[in-house]
Amino acid sequence: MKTGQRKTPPHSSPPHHVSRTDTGVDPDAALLRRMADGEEAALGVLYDKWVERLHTVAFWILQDADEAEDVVEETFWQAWRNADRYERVRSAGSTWLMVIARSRALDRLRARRRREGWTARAGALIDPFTDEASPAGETAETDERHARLNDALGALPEEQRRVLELAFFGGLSHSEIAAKTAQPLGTIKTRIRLAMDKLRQRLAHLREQEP
Amino acid sequence: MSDTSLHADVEELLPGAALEILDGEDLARVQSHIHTCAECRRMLDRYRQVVGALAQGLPSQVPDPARYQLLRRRLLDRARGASLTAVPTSPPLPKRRPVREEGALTRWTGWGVAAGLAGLLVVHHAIHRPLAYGWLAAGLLAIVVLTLAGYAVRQRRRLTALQERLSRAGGDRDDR
Repeated sequence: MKTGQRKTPPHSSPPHHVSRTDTGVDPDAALLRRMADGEEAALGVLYDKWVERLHTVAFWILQDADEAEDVVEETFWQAWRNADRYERVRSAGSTWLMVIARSRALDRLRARRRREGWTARAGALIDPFTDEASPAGETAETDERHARLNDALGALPEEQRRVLELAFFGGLSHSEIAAKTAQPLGTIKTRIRLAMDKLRQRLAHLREQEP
Repeated sequence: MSDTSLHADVEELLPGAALEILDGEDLARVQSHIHTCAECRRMLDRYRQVVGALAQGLPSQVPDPARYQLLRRRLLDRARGASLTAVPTSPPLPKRRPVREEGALTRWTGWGVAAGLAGLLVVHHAIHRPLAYGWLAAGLLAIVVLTLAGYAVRQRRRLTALQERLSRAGGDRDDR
């Protein structure tokens, strides 16, 4: 933790609206660097930029707006506290945030599952990618991203897609998925790996981009 | 298990690690291996990018703007507070003696003196009846005034000492 190492916020930081294409620099990484220097304004900018997306991730996993709000708060707070641990060479700033948000949401989902019995939630998985209607309020860019992702997921064999959804939205472990789908553990591991490999190839152009 | 077979085994588990669905032995194996294997670390990062891309491709759910404005303010206040507490400051002030203890001493001393004088008056009243009630009232009033005066002097001394400590602490911070 950087407590005790905070410096006076620098006021000559680059403007947040500079895009990756202008400078070759990830603007979110730049914001995280400013946050690591103790600049609260950078947190505000990052919040405005990503709050909706993080809420979306948490909401689809938890299916509860109040809990999603808690996850959003935890995510930004974690980002603020651990901004100095972010390694720009390993991932885009946005990926880092998404992974934190999903992780926090899964923590809550698992805690809820322990309280209520895991099969209840896992059996009621909602698949947002197969929704017929395009959600209101999408920008053209996120709409395109959604469509491409849908295409990539649609190209997966049904059994691979199913296990991936159970893992991504339900946070179920390999053995839990095996039990739920009545498939051997090795088969589940292989399906998840194949699905992730295919998505990795198909989504290469979507990664590391602005929302 | 040889290094090669461990590596192959962990490679199989990396997508699960990126999805954060590993537990038990699988999780321990991946965690220990990626510390020493740069290739697996790179692969794990790539799978995490897929997880990020999946998250970013979800259909939007628009949050309640009013609630999220409040949340924004709360977060920034919290961050500001964290920054302030993290700024190096002067050494902590000398630990103050518990107020209750000091106050209690003053309070009980005053009560003790008052009770003693009241007792003397009662004895005096029992011996020299009838007592002049004017003198009794004056005595009681004097006790109250003396107690209050003592208390005020003590408080004034404490306040002066506190001001001195604060000005010393401020001087130290300016020097830095």
